[in-house]
Amino acid sequence: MARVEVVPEQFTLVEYNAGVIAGIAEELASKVGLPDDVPIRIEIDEELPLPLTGSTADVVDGRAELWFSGASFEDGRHRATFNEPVARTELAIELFRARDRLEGFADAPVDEQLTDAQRAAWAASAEGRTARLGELTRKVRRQYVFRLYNGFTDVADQTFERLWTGDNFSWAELEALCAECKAADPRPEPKQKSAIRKESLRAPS
Amino acid sequence: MKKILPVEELARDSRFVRVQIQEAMMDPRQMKVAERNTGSAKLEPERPAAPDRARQLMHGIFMGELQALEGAGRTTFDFDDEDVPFQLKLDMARQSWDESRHCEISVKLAEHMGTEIGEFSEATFLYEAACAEDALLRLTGVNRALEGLAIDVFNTMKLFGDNSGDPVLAACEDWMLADEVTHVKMGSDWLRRLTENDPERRERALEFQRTVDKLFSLGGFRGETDENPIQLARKFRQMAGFSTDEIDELSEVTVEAQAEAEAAATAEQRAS
Repeated sequence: MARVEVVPEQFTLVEYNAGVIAGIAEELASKVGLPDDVPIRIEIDEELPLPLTGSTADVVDGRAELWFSGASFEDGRHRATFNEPVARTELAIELFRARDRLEGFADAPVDEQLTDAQRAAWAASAEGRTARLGELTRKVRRQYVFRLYNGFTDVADQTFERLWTGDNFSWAELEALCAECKAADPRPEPKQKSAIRKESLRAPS
Repeated sequence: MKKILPVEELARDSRFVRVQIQEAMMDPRQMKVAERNTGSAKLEPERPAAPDRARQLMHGIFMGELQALEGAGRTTFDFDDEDVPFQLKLDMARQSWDESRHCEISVKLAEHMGTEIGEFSEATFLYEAACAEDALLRLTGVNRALEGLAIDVFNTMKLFGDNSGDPVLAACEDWMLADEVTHVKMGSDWLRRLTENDPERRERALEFQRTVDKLFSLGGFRGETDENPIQLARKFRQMAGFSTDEIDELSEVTVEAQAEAEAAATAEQRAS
């Protein structure tokens, strides 16, 4: 049985190829250091176009379970077409996060229960590491997302740099960094949790 | 130099890819998303995918500013002094100057949000509304419809900046919003002056504006309900010379545009 399973096997609304995505994931899994005996399941919701980007990474019964909105791999200039460099980055980020869950992030809640601030901080750390793999990364875009959920403050900017350049954070350290940002953030508490996620955007059954 | 420049001849480098707005609106995925309960469509930090929604909208604003610059510039050049008052041409020249600054500000804001020029495709329907051969239609199509849309978009983006605590975005959008109100006011004032003794011509121009306003409502992208990402900015439109009746009428046009787009998408889905 293949290590990487991509769902769906055939795309009907977007010009994506499950085999290509599985191949990229297989290659990146080795690069990010995900143990060889961890199977990977990648679910892609092809109904979600740009700008509805979003993704999650959990480990369930020893299997890495990644979920992406189709927009996460989409070329912004050519509707419904696959952007390989962007897809590689997004896959690497979530594979890093799955690996984290097997190491210092074992205590972290499942993705659906993370706050937007925690999710943005974890993604900043993972994209920083992705940059050091030599993949395309978009640091300013990632920093904008981080600021949106952790504050437009000097403390938040310094924290972002630490996350981007660091390699070995634990879940407890990440929680503490988010708490520091929150303490310096003059904004009121967010009304609700955001970031696109499969639970909040699931199609009616 | 050529007068009335067709849209195909706008200067763009290889970063820009054009798309027909109908193509995006008829994307079968849009219907699928509409079937889901995703809550309010207003642009707020708590909305799903808010950062990328805001980045895409900011890129759209940049493209709109570029086309507004091209439109106002063409109006300055396309008409001779015997066609329109010289003062009108001066107003259009001043507007071109404003729009060029808006382009520069929008580029900086896009960079601030981590967006590259050309990252998203370009729809040219804004410039297309600025190609009318009658200067009066340009004033209604560009100054009152296009720049009116700009008021709605900038107000929405400014509120997003306020709500997300982004001081750069909020200040820049507020600054540009003030200019847009002036541009719409120019259109409103010139429409009145040029048709003072010709009510039929005024009515034709306003009819053109209704058509353009429906197009610019983008099948429900703009409106006054939670379903509309871009909210109609009543207060600023009043400041720009729109009467309450005109704003009410525009509100109805946005509802019609949304209903027509939904019906067309349903028909398309059935056909496929």
